[in-house]
Amino acid sequence: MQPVICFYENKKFIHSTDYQLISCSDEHDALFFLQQIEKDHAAKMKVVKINFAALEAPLSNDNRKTYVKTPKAQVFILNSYELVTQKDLENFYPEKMTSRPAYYPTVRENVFLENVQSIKEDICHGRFYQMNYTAALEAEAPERHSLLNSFVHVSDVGGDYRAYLPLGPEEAIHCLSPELFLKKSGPKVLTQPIKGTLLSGRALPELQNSRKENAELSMIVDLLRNDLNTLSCGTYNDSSRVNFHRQIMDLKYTAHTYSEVEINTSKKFSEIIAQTFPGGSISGCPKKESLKKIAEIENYHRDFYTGSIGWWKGDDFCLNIAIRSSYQKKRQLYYFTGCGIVFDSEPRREWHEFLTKCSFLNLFLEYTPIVDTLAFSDGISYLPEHIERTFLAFRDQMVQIDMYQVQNLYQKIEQELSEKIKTADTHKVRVIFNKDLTYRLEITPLEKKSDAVVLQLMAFDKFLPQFKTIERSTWDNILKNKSAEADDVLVVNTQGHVVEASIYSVFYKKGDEFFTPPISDGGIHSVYRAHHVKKSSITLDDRTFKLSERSLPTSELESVELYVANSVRGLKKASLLF
Amino acid sequence: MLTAVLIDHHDSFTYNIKAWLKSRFAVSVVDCSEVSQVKPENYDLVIISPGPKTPNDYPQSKAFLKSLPANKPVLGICLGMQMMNEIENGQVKAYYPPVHGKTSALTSDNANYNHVQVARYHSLKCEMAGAFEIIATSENIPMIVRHKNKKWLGLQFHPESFLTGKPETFLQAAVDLCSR
Repeated sequence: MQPVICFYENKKFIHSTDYQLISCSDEHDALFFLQQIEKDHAAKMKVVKINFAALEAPLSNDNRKTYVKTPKAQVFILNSYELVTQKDLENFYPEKMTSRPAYYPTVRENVFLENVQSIKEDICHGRFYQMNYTAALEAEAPERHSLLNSFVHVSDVGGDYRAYLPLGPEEAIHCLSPELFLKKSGPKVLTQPIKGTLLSGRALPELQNSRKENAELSMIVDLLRNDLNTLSCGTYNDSSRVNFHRQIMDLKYTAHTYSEVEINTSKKFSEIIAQTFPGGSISGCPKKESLKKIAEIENYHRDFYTGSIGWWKGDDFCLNIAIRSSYQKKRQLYYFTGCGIVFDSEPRREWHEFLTKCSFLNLFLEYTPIVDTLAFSDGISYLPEHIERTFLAFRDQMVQIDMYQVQNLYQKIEQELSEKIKTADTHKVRVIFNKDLTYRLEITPLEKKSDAVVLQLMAFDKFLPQFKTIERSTWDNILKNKSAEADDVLVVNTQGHVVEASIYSVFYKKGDEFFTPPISDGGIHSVYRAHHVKKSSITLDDRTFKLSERSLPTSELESVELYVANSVRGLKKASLLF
Repeated sequence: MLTAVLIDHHDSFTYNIKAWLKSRFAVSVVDCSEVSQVKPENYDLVIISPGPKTPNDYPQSKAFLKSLPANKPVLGICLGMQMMNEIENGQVKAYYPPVHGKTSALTSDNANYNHVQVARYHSLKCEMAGAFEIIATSENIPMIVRHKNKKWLGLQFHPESFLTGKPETFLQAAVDLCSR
């Protein structure tokens, strides 16, 4: 039997290979299920998992994606178990992983930014004060990838409330949570909400002195005081207390602030869950409206993520908030993370925080050198846009870099190109950037091609790269299906919108105006496109046209004039191969 | 022990209000959707709770508040105070930037209130109707108001928050309202 592993106390883990797994199916009431367990298995040590929406009624018209589908509440009844240390686990499961999965966000940056903006608007309208917004990342598991082994060997990045749950022969949850949801010992129940994040490389006072981070945690403390106050009962008639507020929790890649709230109660596990679930820190405040917004705005079912995992024996228990978690079923892997959005949140910063919270996953990844292709004659054309794009590309791969460093790099490159290229002819230059900011130049004279570009339509249901790197396998696979008569492909996304060609952005003329599909349709960050969208105009044969962003459904292709462009070759007429 | 009925507008702080009042009031919580069934004569104090959105999103609560006799003690917190103001034809306007989970100090002629740090959760502000007397402000926003003819006390801030200093002072004000 695969082991169940769950945090316990004093850095020890519960470890069991002799257990019975009981699940609550969709049609049953999760609270009734827990009451039954309470009655039938009181004295046994149990490891329990409760999904985020376990207590919610299913929505009608639910279009959210289901990446993960596990029973809403599950309990491992342990027939026997031992308490083991991290070292013991490493001895039991010594095999370290040799390859790491490459995770990709399932939301695009611009969709994430739009959603943060929409949350902020609702905050302005008084709908809520704070909402926890999350998203999934997906990956294909490398050969012989084992969540169990990765769970055991990532102790340096895991929080104190780590758990590993085998749910089926090729299905498991791996949770590295640093957050305590509820701990009950005797009559005492306490919670330790975490809010406020400091990204690595920044100084602690920035977190300690931030009014925004302070407010974010204070709201959740008030919310959890409320939820614990609902447990006040005749025997103790207690009110919740804040034991401490805004202590620092220093994890390896982030630091956070957290607080502790406590109350005495004689209520039982199932009653406490009924009053407090899901946790305030991962829903929002006020909770009811936040939960509605989460269902409106997040494109997927959280399932176990942001629910709770922990142990339970008699009336004592300890549950985490199931964050920083992965799920594997066969070769499919998911990881989830999120951020608390308040009025003062800056959308871009939140996106950065989102990426940083999963950066430890990608730290295992090799850096893929970034490629920038540019035209040079006397100087670099579209220099500001090249600098901006390369900066974003570095940041996308979690390279800590400032804008001025990229500016300096390009100054050096321009200097080097002026020394190397002695003629006035335009040259095409490919710059390949390494992680340590060194680079390599490939210079070729630009061949002039005046013919229209022939494009072949190609449907594609996955994400295209947002930035150019030496990794071209996505495009290579698409181009394999291109017929010889076409110069390039014209990719169409799942909504039936035109996205881009392999080396060109798409533009089209309708009446007297030019349009280009928005980045949200799935295209790369293109320099030529960025330059002209910023100017809101484009010039063709000495005539200047208004340019704006607008999707191009394939149904309109016949009624528009099609163009493609990049920063090296400029704007070119395009035609479709039928 | 005094009795109070708390009309709950799903603020997620309702049970903090109950805990704050506990030493002096036995509090019954009633969901705002069931407000029409409340018999105010059974309670010493009616509390209109804070809550998301705007007073106009709760027409039943507003109608209930309007129907109360002038001598019925009412404590309106945040949304509750905004409802009181609208009933007396005062203006409730957007407050930008909103203040959530932050504190600021009260300014008041009453020494009990002056300089007390209070917790604020609001994206709306009141321009008070003439029927109210403003007892305290913060950053020029009315924070404590009293009706001149009715037994209504309005608090724009959250007395139940752990961030609010001297919560017992505001509890005493609620008790005084019932004996005034």
